[in-house]
Amino acid sequence: MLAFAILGAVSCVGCGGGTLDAEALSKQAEALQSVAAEGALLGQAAASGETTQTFAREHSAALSELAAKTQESLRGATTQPSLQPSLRRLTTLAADTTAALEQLGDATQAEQRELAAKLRAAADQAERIAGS
Amino acid sequence: MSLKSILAVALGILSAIGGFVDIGDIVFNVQAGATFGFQLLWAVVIGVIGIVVYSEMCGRVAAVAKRPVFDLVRERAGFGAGLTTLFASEVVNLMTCAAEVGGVAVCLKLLAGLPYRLLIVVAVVALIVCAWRLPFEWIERVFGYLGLCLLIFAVAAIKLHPDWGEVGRGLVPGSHAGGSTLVYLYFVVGLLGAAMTPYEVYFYSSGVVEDRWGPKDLRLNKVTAVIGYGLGGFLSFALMITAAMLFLPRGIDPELLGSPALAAGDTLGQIGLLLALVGILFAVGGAAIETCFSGAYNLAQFFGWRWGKFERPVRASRFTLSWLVIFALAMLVVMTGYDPVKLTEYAVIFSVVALPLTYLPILIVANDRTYMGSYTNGRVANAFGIAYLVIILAISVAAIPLMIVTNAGQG
Repeated sequence: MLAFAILGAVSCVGCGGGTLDAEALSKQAEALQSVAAEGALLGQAAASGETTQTFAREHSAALSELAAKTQESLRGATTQPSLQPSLRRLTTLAADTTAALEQLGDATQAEQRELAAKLRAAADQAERIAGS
Repeated sequence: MSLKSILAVALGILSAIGGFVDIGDIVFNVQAGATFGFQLLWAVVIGVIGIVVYSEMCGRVAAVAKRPVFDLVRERAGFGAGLTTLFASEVVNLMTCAAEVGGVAVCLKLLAGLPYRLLIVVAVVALIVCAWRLPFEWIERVFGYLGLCLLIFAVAAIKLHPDWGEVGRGLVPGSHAGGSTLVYLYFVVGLLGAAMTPYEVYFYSSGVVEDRWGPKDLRLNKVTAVIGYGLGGFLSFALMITAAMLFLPRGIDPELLGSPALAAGDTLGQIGLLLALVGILFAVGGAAIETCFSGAYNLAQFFGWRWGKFERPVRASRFTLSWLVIFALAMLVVMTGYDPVKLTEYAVIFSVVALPLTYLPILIVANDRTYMGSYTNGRVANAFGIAYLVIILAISVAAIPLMIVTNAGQG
């Protein structure tokens, strides 16, 4: 059962909020950037009729769960004073991304196009935070 | 070569292509492409040559000595080491089978939109019915042929117009640009592990015995291993190139099984999306049956039980019960809600640790005249076999430390 014990230990690395240093904050920003960018790609594909409705709904739901996990770990986190503005901005972005992804699956094509643009903007902002 | 033989070779190759790519290959190739672009294509080449070398060897051993791999593991390694190998391989088989079952359920969810846990049950019942009702060669063919829908990724890769010069440079091992070196090494280990995962040789060698191959079939064995796995590697290339073109520039780290399907949809529209999902569904479903049977083969061969799909279930009752129990346990693991993609990553890395215990006995027996008569390894097979054993030993030592240090490739 060593395999399952190591598996559990490794699974928990990076879990939870706690205090975030610059590197950890950057990692969270990268994770959010990835989810938002994939959401934007999905939104764009769905709006152009390149996916099925079922796929768009299910995949956006799965992505929104990932964004919600990031949001959850950011919400309870603290950081050094100089990084507070970035943490606040990232927490807001995570909430916006989660909400946009929740709406994406059942949206009309026009709304999907708007949501894709929103998610692309969120991905760009998260990328800037990750790089700062 | 008669028309019938040519047809048999063609069918074998087709099923090997579709059967080579499983959830481990999909996850690691797509993530490697999204993280390092084309820079890790060489690791696929190394992995494919390794699985060709050892599959040919264990197929030859099984055809000549009529003994599958695990039978020989116990005999050559002794009871204690054999039992350790059995335990390690059963844990890895169960983790892999659970990941594959989870993968099937995820694909069904993306196609049908029904609740995930219901689809896990549907997936397991459907796989058990297929495994119970279909003859051995039809299991290989049905899942192998429908797994060929994954060729849509080759179409997508070409349509995305990669820089073929860069692709060519990726085939040569060398220093990497971007990302950390430890994460790069983690992906090297993962790609080699995904290509050379032990259940493939357990299944392949037991399949040779099930299909009643003999020395006259050694050419078929060689051709199937070389072309089948070689073309399977081609599918891995296609997945990595597609991810490199679509995900890397956008900074997407694909963590979901739907991500590669999205790449196919974004490039080729709904038909691309659906073919990708069907391809993944059958490739992963076939691998679920293979891992499950591998687990049952290993147990039966180690304890000397009657085994085989060609036996009526009641005559090989402990073998049949074993694969049914493995499916049931796999279902319980994924029912916990553990992410199949994460489970896949861990299964592949743990399988790497078990690689030397699997491949060393094959190499030893393939050189033993008592078993092999005039069909022992030649110089080329031994040179490759030994070189790969060194590689396998190195990656088996590095696998778990790299997984911990890189947080399973997250950096």
